[in-house]
This record gives sequence, C-alpha cells and structure tokens, in this order.
Amino acid sequence: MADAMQKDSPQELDLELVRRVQRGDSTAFDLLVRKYQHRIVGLIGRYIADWSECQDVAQDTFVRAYRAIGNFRGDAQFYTWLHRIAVNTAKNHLVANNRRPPLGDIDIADAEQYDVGIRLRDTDTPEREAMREELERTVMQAVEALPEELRTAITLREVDGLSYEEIAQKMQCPIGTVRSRIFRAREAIDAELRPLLDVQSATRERSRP
Amino acid sequence: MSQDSSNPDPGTDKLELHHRQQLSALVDGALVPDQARFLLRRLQHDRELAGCYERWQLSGQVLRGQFQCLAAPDFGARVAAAIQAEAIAEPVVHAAAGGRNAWTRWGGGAAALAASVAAVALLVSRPQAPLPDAPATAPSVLAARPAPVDAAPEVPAVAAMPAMPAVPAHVEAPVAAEPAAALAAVAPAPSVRARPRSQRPQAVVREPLPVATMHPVARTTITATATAADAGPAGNPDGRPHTDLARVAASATADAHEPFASVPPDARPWPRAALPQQASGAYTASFGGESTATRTFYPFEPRLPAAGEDASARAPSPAWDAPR
Repeated sequence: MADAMQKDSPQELDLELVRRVQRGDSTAFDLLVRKYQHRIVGLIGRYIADWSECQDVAQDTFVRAYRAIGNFRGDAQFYTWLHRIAVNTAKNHLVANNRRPPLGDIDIADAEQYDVGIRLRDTDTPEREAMREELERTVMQAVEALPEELRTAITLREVDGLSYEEIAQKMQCPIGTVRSRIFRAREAIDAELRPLLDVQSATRERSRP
Repeated sequence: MSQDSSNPDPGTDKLELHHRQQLSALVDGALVPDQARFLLRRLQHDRELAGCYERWQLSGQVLRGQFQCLAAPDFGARVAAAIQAEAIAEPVVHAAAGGRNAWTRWGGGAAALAASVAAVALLVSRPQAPLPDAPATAPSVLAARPAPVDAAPEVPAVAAMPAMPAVPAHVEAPVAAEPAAALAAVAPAPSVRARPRSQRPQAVVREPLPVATMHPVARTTITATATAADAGPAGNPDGRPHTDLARVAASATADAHEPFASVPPDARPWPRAALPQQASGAYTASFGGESTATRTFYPFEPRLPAAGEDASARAPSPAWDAPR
C-alpha cells in the first residue's frame, strides 16, 4: 500500500510539492511555507534578535526560495536548500544594515542536532523563551497522556522516523492500525496545542502596534 | 481500514474526519498517489485542513526538538501576498521551459491554422483574379495586404498603388471617399503603416473574404472595374450592392475592434448571387468573357418574365393549349 510514497516519505511529499510549484501551482508553495516557517524563523532568529525583523527576513527567504525554486533539482532535501537560502538572506540583511554577520554559519547539522541544547547566539527574549517552553511542555504533556500504543506509534513515527511498515513490524499490528493510531495521537496532541496557539496569536494581535 | 479505528466526536463531520485521516497519512507520505493528489488540491482551499497540517508539522518539530520560535500567525498569508505583490507570475523553472514549449505548441498550432486558412483564402480568392480589366496578380496582392479595414487610412495611396488598377477608379472615387473617411476616424492610422511583415499571416487569415470584408475603397475600386467590364444593366442596376457593401463595411469595422472575433456569416463571399456585379467570376461556366455579362444562372430563383420576353414567352402557349 502506497509503496511509491513510503520511501523517505516526508521528502517525497516535499518533492511532490516542489514539482507542483515548478509547474506553476503557487498554492502548493503555501504548504511548504506552513511546514517550514517555524524552523526558518527559528533559524533566522539565531542571526537576528528582533522578532518582527526576523519575521520579515524569513518572509524574504521564502520569496527568494519561490523565485529560485526552478533551480531546485531535488538532489538535496528541500529543507537543506531552504536552510542555505535562509542563512544567506539573514547574513545579507545584516550586511545591508551595517551589522556584522557572524563569522561561522549555522550548519544544518547543528541546526538539526543542537537546536534546543546549544544556542549559538543568545537572542531569545524572555517572552519568546517562555512561549517556547510552554509550547514544548504542552506537547510533551499531551504525548504523555496518550495511551501506550498511541504514544509508541507517534514516537516511532515522529522521533525515530520509521515508516508505517516498520512500525507495524515493531508493534506487531497491521499497517492500518498503525495509521489509525498515529492519526488519533495527532488529534489528541492537536486538541491541546490548538487552544495554546489561538491564545498566543490573539495575544500577538493585541500587542501589535 | 483498521480494527481499532478512531471513535470520533459525534459532532465531528465524518467527511472532515476522513480528510484529516488522509492528511495524517499524507504527512507521513503513506497516502496513495491518487488520494494524495485530491487531498493536495483540497488543501489549497480548505483553510481548516491546512491549519491542521501546519499544527501537526509543528508538533512533530517539537517532538523532534527542532522547534525554537513561532512564526507569526499570518506568516503564510504574508508570504503569499508578497509573492503576489511582486508579480512573480511563474518561477524560473525548467518548468518554465515547459511553458515555452506550451507557447510554442500554441504558436505552432496557430501558424498551422493560419497557413491552412491562407491556403483556403488563395483557393477562394484566385477565381476572382481574372477580372476583365484587372491585372492577374490583383487577388494575390490583395491577399498579401494587411487587414483590409486597417488599410483604411491608406486611402489616398490606393489610386497610386501599382498593384491596384487605377483605371476606372475615378468612376466611383467620390463615393468611396466618404466611407473611407468614416473608417479612418474609427481605425487608428499608425497601426496600419507600422504593421510589420511578420504579422502578415494574420492579415492573410482575415483576408479569405476579399470581396465581403474588403475596405470600401478597395472594394469599390474593384466594383468599378467589374461595373466597367459588365457595362450593362445586369451589372448593378439599382445600386443595392452598395448598401450591402456599406453593411459589410460596418461589420468589417467591427472586425477592426475585435480582430479575433469570428467573421459574421453575412460577410462571406458566397452566395455570389447576392453580388450581381461579381457574377462574371469563376462560379459561372465562362471566365470573364464579354458574353458573361448576363446574369448568373440560379436554379432556385423563379424566373420572372421580362417585359419584352412576356409576349414571346406566351406566344407558344396557345399552340400548346390548342385543342387538337
């Protein structure tokens, strides 16, 4: 079932979306933006302290990526390619504003492996730090509250990156069951996450000048 | 699908639940391609589903420890607006090459269409060539000219054109001046003279109707030629063709505003019986001899007896009716 899309599946979805954008379907790009916006904002936040400025540079990053997406051939992962654009855009922004960019780039491996533990630059405001901690706590609590089989399924999928077939073998259940468990786990996490995001977006709207 | 399928909230729409289940599989790349295609299309307009997709991605990033900072709630909309504002119509793609191919394909099709229509135009217009006083090249010259209506501002140059027979033009030239001036007021002058050679096939496309859609001046010139050749009452006794020509000229003026509009049916060159002055064309049995000044034979038209013919036509009837 779905053999074609099972292998390296999230990247396959990215590639499919990129192909759609390359064919002129600009709305497919919106899904790529929704998927990677938080990671790109977080990455740029390492270069640029100001949150709103960071949002502008992240927006510029995606616009540049859209312009150049025709050159993306799929040799690397889409996020690797996007990461490079984000780093260059952030550094160009700093240079254009007569600010000195950091000497070393934030490597994608560092960005993936040391995101939480090692902060290359301490640019987080207390508000952003508190927001991140609250969000992480909410998600972790929601996962802890899941039934055992749902928690195992979502952890194997999201953290370990196993495919449905591999999870089915590990949990000794049909693939359909894996599929259903992962969906129910996501629904349960989302039920906790959504109110938090709604409150935060409402707070941001109120505090916006 | 599975034995422990989810127990949804009874208030939840089953269709939405089904879409979210599919979305969960799509996020993991475990949706069959056909369903993925439909779901991706749905995601383009279903904001609720797209928000769900975004939050699931976010929760996954949190679980993997990749989350650092939230983007603005309307970040995606801002990016979409920025892309639209910059009028990035299409990304610079190899898909752009596909776009060029598409244009080439369309262009090729248009060129093929233009060529075929031009061929038909030649076939249709060539029989009109042997007008009595006109040079044999006249129809081809007409076909090679730009759009007939756009040629209106060239009115003063018509008599001086070497390809056009200036011989009998003086006969109706004053008549032609008025509609030509009217058309000149409608049609923009510079577009005519500046028309490049590359656009001529398009003019040829509109040219297959050399008689019906021709500019009044040029057509009147031919009319004058035909009239002079006919030189008889069968040519144009009551001037009706001129009113037809005016009507057709009006439609031709409309063509100038809608160059790609389909030609109105009344602008077609047939039936030629509607234009008696053209009756000497190739649709008759003879080709423009002096004897062709007679009216075109039209089998479905009731033959009305002429005044002179009346007596002679009725003369034999007593013989036929006479009792034996």
